[in-house]
Amino acid sequence: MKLRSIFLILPLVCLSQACYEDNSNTSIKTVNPIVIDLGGAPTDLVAYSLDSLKVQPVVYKVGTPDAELSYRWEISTRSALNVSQLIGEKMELKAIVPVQANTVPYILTLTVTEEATGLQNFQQFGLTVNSDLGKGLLIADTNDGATSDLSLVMAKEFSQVTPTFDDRNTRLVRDIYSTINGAPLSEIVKGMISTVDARDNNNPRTLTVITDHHAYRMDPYVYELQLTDGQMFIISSIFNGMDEIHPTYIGTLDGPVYDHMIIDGKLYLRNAQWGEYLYKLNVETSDGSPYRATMATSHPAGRYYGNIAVYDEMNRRFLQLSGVGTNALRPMKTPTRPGGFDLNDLGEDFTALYMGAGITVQLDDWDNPQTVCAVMQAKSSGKRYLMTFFPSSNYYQDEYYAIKKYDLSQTAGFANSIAWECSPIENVFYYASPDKAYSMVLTGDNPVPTEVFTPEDGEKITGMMLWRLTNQGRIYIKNPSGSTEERSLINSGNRMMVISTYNGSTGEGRITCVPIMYVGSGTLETDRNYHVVFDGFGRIVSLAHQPV
Amino acid sequence: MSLLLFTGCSKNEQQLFRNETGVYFDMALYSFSFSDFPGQTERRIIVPLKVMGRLSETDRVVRAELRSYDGEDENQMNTANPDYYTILEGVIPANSEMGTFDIDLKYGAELDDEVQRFFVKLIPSEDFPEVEFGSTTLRVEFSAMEMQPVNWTNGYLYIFLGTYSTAYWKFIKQTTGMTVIPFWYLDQTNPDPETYYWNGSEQANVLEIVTLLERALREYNQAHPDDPLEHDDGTKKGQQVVVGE
Repeated sequence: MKLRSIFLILPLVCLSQACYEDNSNTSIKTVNPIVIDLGGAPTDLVAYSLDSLKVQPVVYKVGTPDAELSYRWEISTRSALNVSQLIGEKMELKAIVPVQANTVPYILTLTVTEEATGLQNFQQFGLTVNSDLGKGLLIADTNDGATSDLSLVMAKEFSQVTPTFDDRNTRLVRDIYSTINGAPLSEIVKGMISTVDARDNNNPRTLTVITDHHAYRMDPYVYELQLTDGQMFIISSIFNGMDEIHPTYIGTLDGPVYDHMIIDGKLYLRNAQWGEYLYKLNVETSDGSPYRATMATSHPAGRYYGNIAVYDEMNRRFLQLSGVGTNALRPMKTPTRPGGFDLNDLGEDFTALYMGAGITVQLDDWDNPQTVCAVMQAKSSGKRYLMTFFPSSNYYQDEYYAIKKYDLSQTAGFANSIAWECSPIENVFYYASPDKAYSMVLTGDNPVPTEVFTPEDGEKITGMMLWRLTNQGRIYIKNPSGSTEERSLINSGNRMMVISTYNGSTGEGRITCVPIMYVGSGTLETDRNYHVVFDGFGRIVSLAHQPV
Repeated sequence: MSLLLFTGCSKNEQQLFRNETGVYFDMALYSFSFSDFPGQTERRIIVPLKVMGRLSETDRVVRAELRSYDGEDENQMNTANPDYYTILEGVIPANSEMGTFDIDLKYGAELDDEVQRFFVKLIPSEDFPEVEFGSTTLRVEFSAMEMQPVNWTNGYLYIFLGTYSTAYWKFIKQTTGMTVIPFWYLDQTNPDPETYYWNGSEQANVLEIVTLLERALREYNQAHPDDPLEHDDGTKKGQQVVVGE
């Protein structure tokens, strides 16, 4: 009986259990998001240090009053995101930029929190903090022919592209060096470079200037003199025992970042990419033999690296320093294909007047080195030649092809030319005498020059530089007739020639920016409405990019 | 039997190491030369100290005195003129396991021709009542003749420059124009960051000096083909100088 009751009760117990309907998946409450609406405004901001910064997003959450949202605006650096400075606590940011100018943008983060629930949303902005003295065109000029000073032009032709440079910010800042240091430089500036390795916040930006007997270094945002001569070297006593030094060239190689100088025939460099702040002992030749360098130029040699080509006056040859491999000056091995001249023996003594990086040669899918153009003057005859050559794509094999040696001694304007340029994007050579600027398309044996620029009455040309920064500077060019728009704004990189002129009677120097039209033909815009002029300088003696 | 179920284990208290905190000189020999500090007739040498045991939240004073020696071994005798040195005191800064001990040295004419020596022994102080355990005696040797700079071994200069000798050190000073190569490899053992201000991360500076020396040595040997630069004393006496070896 007992057993039967168990069998009876057991199913009853089981059956009395039941399920109930699971409505859990329909019982969803939608959470409204916190909306941060920038209204199409950019997320890349630019401000000046200690200047005011205003950002006005519209922030809301449907169903939540504004008062229940809290805001935090914080600035941090890209390399230390967890260390931030609070600069605003309202929806609209109106603050003074508390951080210093830097090439690397800061990160500005807006964090919006709904207090009741802890729900958050974020918006990040890139904030570039510019220096009052930032990207632009560096000019060295002289008023007395003995001392020189530094000036800076910040204008859309030379300054940052993103965000768009506002013409209202155009500034010509004159005589910065003497203003900051109390006196101008005691000699005429021969060369200047401003560099920073923007990948590395720790590698300080430097502006280095050379004159006949000195080298100077300063911060390009400040211009206060920091180091002179031997102080710029790890072994500061390096020039002890010399009455004076004679710098002849200053430059920088982009891959890797080798800042380099030639002083008294020796090449010195520092690897700015590795954070080498001071220059090292002079580079030696690979076989230890003596050399006397006078001029150099850096040029891309492979996809990711470049070389420095150097003229060795002592041995009448060109040498090269590779951006990869050991730091030694090596002779150029010429491959089996005969070239236009012997890079290892020019056959007579030359003075190197100019070396620059010219047309890019597409060797294969991988490598695109640039041709080196060298203007050389024979010491005995005074004849001037243009020599062109480029590196082969073989990584360590030191091979260079000599392309051509042009005798330009009879070419109009070349015998008394004072400035020369070549271009990475066209096989064109530009040069200027004091009276005119010319271009020559380098095809065939006897290139013919075309006059491309004449200064105004009373003016002489004192310098010419191709603007080579492709991500900095914009200039208007005239559109072809029949276009809907009369003009277009293009990047200045390799499309703008910067020409300096001087009026001897008024004592005034000017800069004229001239667009390069119809790439490949060596055509400068002749319509002066498209020439952008900056004036009010002394006699301009040197020009340089200020990319920092 | 069920009572057995109620037995258990009890936690074994670990015995902690207990001892008084000790302090010791973090080097055995401090060699010093007035020729490395031209124009100076008095100089304070700073000797590194290390603590064995607990840190303290306040500075701790360390005391030492001249070690007396009655034995026969000449190498253990104090030969220095007592007027030429003063044993001062040391301090272990708060929250640090490293400290410094100051000794003043004075120049006298005898030092032009000889090396003088004295031994310094730590004695109990109010902050370090126990100094026997693990203590070291410091030997100080000084002269106005060339001596091996204190950072040659302790600052790891030898890794870059190689073996010391008087002739080699004179060559280094002449070539570089420096009398002190201000490099100390490990920050944590550097007793005098004012004098030795290149630390381990500034090896590039020492490497530059190595390059400078290699080139100068090459030039010297080319100019003296029958008489290349040789070590005149030390462990490599008689051997040709090779930078880094």
